[in-house]
Formats: sequence, structure tokens, C-alpha cells
Amino acid sequence: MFFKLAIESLLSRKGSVLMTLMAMTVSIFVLLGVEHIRQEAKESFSNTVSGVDLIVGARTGTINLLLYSVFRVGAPTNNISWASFQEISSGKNVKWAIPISLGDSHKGYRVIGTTENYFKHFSYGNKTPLRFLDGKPFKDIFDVVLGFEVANKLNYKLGDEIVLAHGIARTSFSLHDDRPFTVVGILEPTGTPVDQSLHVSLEGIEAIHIDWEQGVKIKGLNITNDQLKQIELKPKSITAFMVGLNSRIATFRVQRSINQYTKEPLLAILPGVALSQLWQMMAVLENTLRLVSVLVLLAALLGLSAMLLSSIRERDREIQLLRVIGAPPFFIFMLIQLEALVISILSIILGGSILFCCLASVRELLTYHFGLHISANIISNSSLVFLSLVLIATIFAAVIPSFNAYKIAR
Amino acid sequence: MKANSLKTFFTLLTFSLIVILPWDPAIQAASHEHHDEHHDDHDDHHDEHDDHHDEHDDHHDEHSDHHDEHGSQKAHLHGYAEMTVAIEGNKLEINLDSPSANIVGFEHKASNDDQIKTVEAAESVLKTPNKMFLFNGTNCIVIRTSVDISAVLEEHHDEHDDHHDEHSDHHGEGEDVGHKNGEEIHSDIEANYKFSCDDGSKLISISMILFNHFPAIEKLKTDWIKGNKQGSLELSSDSRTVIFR
Repeated sequence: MFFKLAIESLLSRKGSVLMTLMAMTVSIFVLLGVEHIRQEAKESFSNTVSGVDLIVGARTGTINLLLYSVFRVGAPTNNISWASFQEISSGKNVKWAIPISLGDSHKGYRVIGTTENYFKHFSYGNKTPLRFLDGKPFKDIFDVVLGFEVANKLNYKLGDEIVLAHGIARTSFSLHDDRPFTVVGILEPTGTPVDQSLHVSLEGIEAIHIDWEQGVKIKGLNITNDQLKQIELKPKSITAFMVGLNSRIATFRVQRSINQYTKEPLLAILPGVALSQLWQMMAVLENTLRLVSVLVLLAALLGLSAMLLSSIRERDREIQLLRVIGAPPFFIFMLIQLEALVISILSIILGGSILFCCLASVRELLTYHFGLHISANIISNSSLVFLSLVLIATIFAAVIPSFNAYKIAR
Repeated sequence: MKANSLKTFFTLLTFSLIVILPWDPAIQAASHEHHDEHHDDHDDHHDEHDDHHDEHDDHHDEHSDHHDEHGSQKAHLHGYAEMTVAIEGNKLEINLDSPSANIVGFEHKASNDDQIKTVEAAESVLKTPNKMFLFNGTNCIVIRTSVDISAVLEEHHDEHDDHHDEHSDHHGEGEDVGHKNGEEIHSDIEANYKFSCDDGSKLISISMILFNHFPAIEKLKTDWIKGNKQGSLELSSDSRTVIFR
């Protein structure tokens, strides 16, 4: 009866209730959205690389190196020489090293030149190694292993031939069309930038650039694939490399010695350390976003309070009537509170479901453009905490109108 | 609304990256030409003595030009120091690298009795890990302490013996990559500590009580590794605890 009365009284004032409901919905949408994306972005970043002790590249900013080597965000500042890679990776503390060479692409997806070590040692999430959905690692010069999404989106199967493009432009006209690659493997989905990558051997990268000069193909110079096999395809430079160490406690010592490497300016970073530096920089931004979303919520709550307060005046008679049929003043107080809570709960449901739909529909765009994997599951501990705080705030916001009604009833 | 909030988020994200990246102190750390961990040969120390005298007169310029030979300049920021903490199993290793000014208040060789006293006082604190660190969660015993304060002190005291230990040890654990230059004069003080903990996995945090003794250190950039986890934070006398999580 109590609940029904609250619903009926809300329904009798559809217009203003609907506006308040919308304001609340929007504010909850923003609040949950900011919190969710913030968390998921962090999670997605931290899951991308695990088990890698050091990442080594040209001397640049720590975060810059991390972003371009692991997340393929931004452009490498410089390459490092193959000799440095060989010298450092043969150090006795180094367990394994994965060279990475970036710069080519296929239909907007990045191509990574690397070695078999990539499939052996690279891991993501909670130390999960890369696994093959189909096929095997590359062996031949013109073999390519596709990330899950590349194969899925472009509908490639084992044995298909694909042509790589020079540079990273999505519609590139300088294609390496004289040397197509054969798909020999497709990786399982990982939820990391690996899904959007094509992996070829470093020799493959060298081979497709062999009769190129200064970024363009040299006319008339054609080397056949048989001739290629004769040539020693040794890479001169790579973009970066990842290192796994025998003893973790030596990480900082190895890092220091790489940073002091005299033959070439190198930078070694610890991926986890670089990530926490990134979060430190982001902290101000995060807090600003949070503050804004909390203020939006506050505005909506004040609107709710104002709406209820103005309704009390026109409900003077209703309240008197309820009193006449025997409702105590406290009942009136609770009635107004209940109305506020109903609006609040409805907008939580609405805001949550709209957010869910939006996330589900823009996920792929986010993955494609930012390499961010955002799940549409918005229910987490912190979102539940936030929502209960919203409900408590609603109760507080409704105290003034409820008390007003209580005074009239007395 | 939603598209906007997303867009704003990423625009701001990108923007802040662009703005902040050039100021990243880690960039300076990258060009940070560390004095390496005393595994240089002994003879180098002596060579260095000769050099000291030349350098002595122009130690004002010291920051800027005495590292030239390595091709990269060491960032030298007074008030700022760096620390690394590595935990693996029950082994714990801490390294502190700070401009001398933070520790003793000057960057040249101690020239009068007062200065020598200051250096000796600082050295005795640096050599007493109990005065520097407070371990929470488990008990850790120091196995080896090595403090390189030679930048501000003429004599080497008993350090020579330490160096021998260090020497063999470092080769054991491997300083892999090419670094073989002789020691050079620098205005940094470096301290390295090795501990053995009862249970390394239970070590939840370390409080840096060294702020009590060296108030000139305003910011202490601390990078840490504990098993699979890595992290970094900036400590100050207000927040002096590094929590491994």
C-alpha cells in the first residue's frame, strides 16, 4: 500500500518526475562511466605485458618507450643497432630477449618483426603465454603469424597470401606487393595489442625492404626470392627489445648498466615502474574527472530535492487527507523519502543499462583506435560502492522536502 | 553525452601525455650517468686521487662538464634522490643514489675539520641501515653495506676492504653489459645494502626513516620490484613509506 501510494503519487506528476529522472540518469551514467573506463583502462594496460623484466630502446622518455614498444601508441624516436641488441642479449644475466621491429602495416594493423622468442617468452595478463589457435610460429622468410583480431576482421585463414604496406597509413600506396607473405599461424585472442598485430620474422622485414631505398621502391631492381635466400638477411637495426632476466634482484643493476652503455644511447625501463609513473601523471586527471562526475551528480540530486520541495506545496491537500484517514506524520516523511529513492533507483537502472549498451557498441572502436580493451561488465566492487553512496546521498537530499511535508502534517 | 565524455577522457589523456612527457623526471634518470657500483679496479681509485686535485678548483662547473667523457650527462637535481628496492625470495637489495649536497650539504671534497666531521657523521648514518630503513611485516638483517662517499672525502678509510668484497660479488651476480671505464669524479653519494629477510614475501612495506637524518632530500624517487610486481613512487618526508602492492 505504502509503495503503491508512492508510485501513484509520482505518476500523477509525470512531467517534473520524468525530467528529474533524466537528470539523475545522466549523472549516474557519467559517474559510472568515468569510474569504469578509468579502471578498465588501467587493467587493460597492466595486463598487456607480464614477465618482461626490462624493455630496452633508444634513449627517450620512459613512458614514451613503454607506449610505443608495447602498446603501439605513438612513434618510436629512434632505432637501436642490431649489434647492441646482440651484445646486451648475450649478457650472462639475460635469460631471453625478444627483438621488435616496427614500421610496416597491413590495412591499418601494425606489423611486428621479431623472432621465435616472441611466441616462446612473451606473456600477458597473469603470466599467460601466447597460444596458437591455428598453425605454428613463422619459419620461412615470408611467413606471417596473425593476431586474433586481424585474422577475424579481415577473414584470413592459414595459407592466405597477404601484402604488407610500407609505413603505418591505413591506405598506403607503397605496398610491398612484390613479396607477399603467407599466413602460417593465428594466435588465440589475448585482449592485448597482440590481437591487432601481424608478426613476421626480422629477416622478412629486411627482405621486403631490400630493394627499397629511402622509403620508395627502386625501379628495375628486382631480386628474386631464390636470390634472397642467398643473401644474408641480417637486420641492421631494431626498434626495441624486451628482456627476461635470470635473477630479478639484478634487474636494477642490469638496467643501470644498459643505461650507461657507451656505444649507443640506450634506455632500459621496467614496464611496471613505467606504468606506475604513467598512473602518477594521470592521477590529477583522474581526480578531476571524478570531481566533475560527482558535481554532476550533486546537481542532479539538488534538482531532485527542488522538485520534491515544490511538489509539497501543491500536495498540501493530499497530505491533509492522508492525515484524516489516520496516517501518522512519520508516514508522510517516509512517503516522500520513498519517492526520492524510487527515482534514484530507477535512474541507476536506466543509467547503468544505457552505459552497458554504449560500452558494448563502442568497445570495438576503442580497441581499434586506442588498443584499449574495455569490458561492458560495469558491475564491480567500486561501482557498487558508488551506487550505494548515491542512494545515501539521495536520502540526505530528500530530507528537506520530507521534513517539510512532515511539518505540514503535524 | 557518453561519446563526449569518452572523447574528453581520451583527448585529455593524450593532451596530458604530450604536456607532461617532456618534464618526466625519468627522462633525466635515463640520461643519469650513474657512478657504478665500486667494482672498478682498485688502481682506478688511486688514479682518481690525482685527478681530484685538478678538479678541486673548478668544482663549480663540476655538474655540467665532468661527465663528458661518457657522452651523456648525469642529471643532477638537488633535493632529489633515487632509490631502488628489489626483493626476490628472501633477498632484499636497496640502492640509494643522491647528489652529495642532499647528504652533506656540499659537493666538493671536505676541506676543513667541520666538513670532514659532517661527512663522517653522514657516513656513519649511511652505514647503519637501522637508521635508514624500517621494515614492516618481516625481519630483515643486513648482510652487506657499502657506502661510496669518496666524492666528498679524500681518504678512503676502511672502504678498500669493502671494495674487494664488492668486486667479487658483482662479478658473481653479473654486470653484463659494457661498462668498463675508470671511476670518475662525481658529486654523488651512493649507498648499497643487501639484506636477508626471514620471509621476503611477508615484507609489505619499508619506511624510509632516512628522511629524519637527511632533510635536504625532498623527493626520493623509489622504483621497486617484488617478485612479479613492479612499481614506482615518489617519497617525501610526508609520505615516507613504500608499500609493495
